[in-house]
Amino acid sequence: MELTVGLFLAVTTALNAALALMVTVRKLRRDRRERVHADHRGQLRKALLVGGNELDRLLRGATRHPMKQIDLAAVLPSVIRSDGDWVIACVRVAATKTGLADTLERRLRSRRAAVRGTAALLVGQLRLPGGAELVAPLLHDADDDVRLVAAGALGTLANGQAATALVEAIGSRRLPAERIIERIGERWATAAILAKLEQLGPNGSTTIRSALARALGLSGDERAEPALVEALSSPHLEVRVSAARALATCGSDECRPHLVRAMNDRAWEVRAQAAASLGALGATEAVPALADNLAHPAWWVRANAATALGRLGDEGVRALRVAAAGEDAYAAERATEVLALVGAAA
Amino acid sequence: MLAVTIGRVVEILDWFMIAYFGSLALICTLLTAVGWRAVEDYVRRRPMRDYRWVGQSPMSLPVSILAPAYNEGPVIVPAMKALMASQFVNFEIIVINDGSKDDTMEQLKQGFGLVPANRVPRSNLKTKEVKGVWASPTESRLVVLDKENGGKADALNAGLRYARNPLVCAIDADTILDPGALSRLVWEFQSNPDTVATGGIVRIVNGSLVEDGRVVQVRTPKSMIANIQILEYLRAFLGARVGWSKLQMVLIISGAFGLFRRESVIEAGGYDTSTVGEDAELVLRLHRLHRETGRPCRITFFPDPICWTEAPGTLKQLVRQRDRWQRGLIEMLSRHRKMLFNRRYGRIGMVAMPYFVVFELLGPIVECIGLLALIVSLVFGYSSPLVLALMAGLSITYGFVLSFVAILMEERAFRRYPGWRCLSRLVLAAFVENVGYRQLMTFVRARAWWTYRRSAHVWGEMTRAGFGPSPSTAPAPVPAPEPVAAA
Repeated sequence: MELTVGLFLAVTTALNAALALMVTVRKLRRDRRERVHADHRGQLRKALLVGGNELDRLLRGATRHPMKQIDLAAVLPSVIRSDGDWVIACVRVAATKTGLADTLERRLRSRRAAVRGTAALLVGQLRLPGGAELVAPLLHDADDDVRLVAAGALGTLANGQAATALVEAIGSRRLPAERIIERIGERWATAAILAKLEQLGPNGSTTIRSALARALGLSGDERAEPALVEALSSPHLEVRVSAARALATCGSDECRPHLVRAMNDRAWEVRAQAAASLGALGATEAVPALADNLAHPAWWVRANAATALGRLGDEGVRALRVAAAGEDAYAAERATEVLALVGAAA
Repeated sequence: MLAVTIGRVVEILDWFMIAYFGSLALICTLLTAVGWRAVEDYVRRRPMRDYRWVGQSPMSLPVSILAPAYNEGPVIVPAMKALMASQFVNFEIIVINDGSKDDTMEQLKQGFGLVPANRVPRSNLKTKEVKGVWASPTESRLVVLDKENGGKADALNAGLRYARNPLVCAIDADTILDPGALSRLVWEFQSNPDTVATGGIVRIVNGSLVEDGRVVQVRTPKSMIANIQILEYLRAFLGARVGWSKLQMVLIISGAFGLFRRESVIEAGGYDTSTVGEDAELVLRLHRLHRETGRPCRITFFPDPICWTEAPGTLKQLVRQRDRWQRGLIEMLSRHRKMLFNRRYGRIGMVAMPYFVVFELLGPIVECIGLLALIVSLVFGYSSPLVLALMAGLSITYGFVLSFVAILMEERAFRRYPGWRCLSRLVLAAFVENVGYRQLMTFVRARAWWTYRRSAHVWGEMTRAGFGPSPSTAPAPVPAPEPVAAA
């Protein structure tokens, strides 16, 4: 019995010692690996800026080692930020020459989600020719993360094919529209969005048209203005709201009368968005319409109208002062608050 | 005859203990194994997740951060300014001054130049009276509610009423969020629309260097009690909770840091003001609501978003904290006992709740009885000291294994404690906690049944040392929260 217990205690002590040793060894290995990767990233950073044989050597290494691909993905954005197009052109050539491009293409079809995702990320960052076609199918991947990475990679590729792929994916059940809107909300995608809007026509899917209008709003591209003005008279509430919101960034003097008219829309949601947009556009001619809406039953309309008036300079402040001293308690309340926030006395 | 009977009882008890702790060990091993796999999967996926983008995208789901504050005057303004420096840009902060008796409200007014604002409550949750709503002309993302004292849950409910955004993040006003923490949690909601709530890891800030409301250097403290708690948190979060999350059976999201879908919380009735464990109770209620209405309910735990909080530095404070946690657990499980072994609630009712009842709720009592039986066995010679030594050795060894696995997971995935000194302190804590600490905590948790019957809704005090740049320049201690009477 004593022998059994003694043996047991010896084994447990040895096990604990082994665990402590394992933690130590693990830490040493991790420390070493961190140093190796830090060195590799440093070398990559330098080589990306200089190009030449050293870059070829490092990319050839990345072709063989997935961890080195991750290093490349980590380093590329910072280098591209500082020295954009030239670096991308060099790296693209080197990636094709060293076989990295082919490796990435193969890895896009890997069974492991993390591998597919990392490959998609790099295809986007390297702006590989034909990258949009390669990555687009991953928008419908079974894995949540891979779909998001694919949308991001297409956003980084930022070309017509990528825009078309993303626009076509709006309405897909697997990828929320917001994740696509945030990627195509830039000028490079405007043409594809407008083409899709035209294809859909006024009776097309409300959800898709609304999403496209929101994307146009994010892009701030003035080419979108006519389509958005037209959307303001859509029979669908969702579309009108998105159009009114988008005009805050895409609109010029041309759209202001339409937005002022939208302040009389039957839906309070449209009025609220139109008020916010008029404030953002600095449309002083909208002061009377905004002042009228200070007493609207919907809180958001009152709030946005007052905030917009606060942004329209002296004329807006004058209207707010009148409303603050008026009999309408709702209007007075909102006006007083905004006057306090803009630092003007009631 | 009596001796034979006692001997028989002790023998039955011995076998019961072996079966009980054997089952517990098996479950813990399984959970840790599942957790390990989940952490590995997370590490593999990390390079492809662009959290920075989530933080900066105008289309990311906006968040309302609810920060209840009671007598937080000395720290409230820097704490809120630190929150505003988050990498996640699409958020508003709602500070709820819960009837503070110090100068919390004045500090906020001065710090942000607050002016009275008109904000309409967007739900009908019942709370103590909100005396005023304040906004800042310089910081449009800040809203301050000044309300009568009603306790933390009541303050959170008031915040919920005024929150505009679809996601709400409940935090303690004195906790520190990592700059990327919110983006990581929001990712969970954006990658899967069925997500109702998600929690991040809570880590202990004691001993670390904090500047301008940011943890700039992570260090383990000198205090062994604090080090043991760091280890406990690592075991609980990286081992068990990641495992539960992978199995979709998360029952607890820490009140110090959790992100919820606002509509779901309001539909569930908000935070329960009559319990000391309002955070866990809410999670269980969300599970219940969604399962009763046949809707998907994804509640997850995410090991990377980090919230730093101060752990009790003295044994007295620690005992109070653990007593409160255990009372919260008792309340939560007794209120929702209908879910226990009820197939309608799926794996929550059939697996997670029974585990919590058998091992978390009754565990301390069983362990105390086991210790008592051990002493009786030794005194009356019913068991061989060698067999008892064997059992004790096995139990301690198993504790070591779990601790070391947690440290290994931390080293593998996060490396928040980079120095050798930190690591050696944690390893030392893994040994030291077996000598008295574990036994004391078992007793405290068993005693909570008694305190639960006597004073169900008393929070206990926690004197904070504050997050100063160094111990010598730490701000003055903040007064403890006021005990709140049961609603």
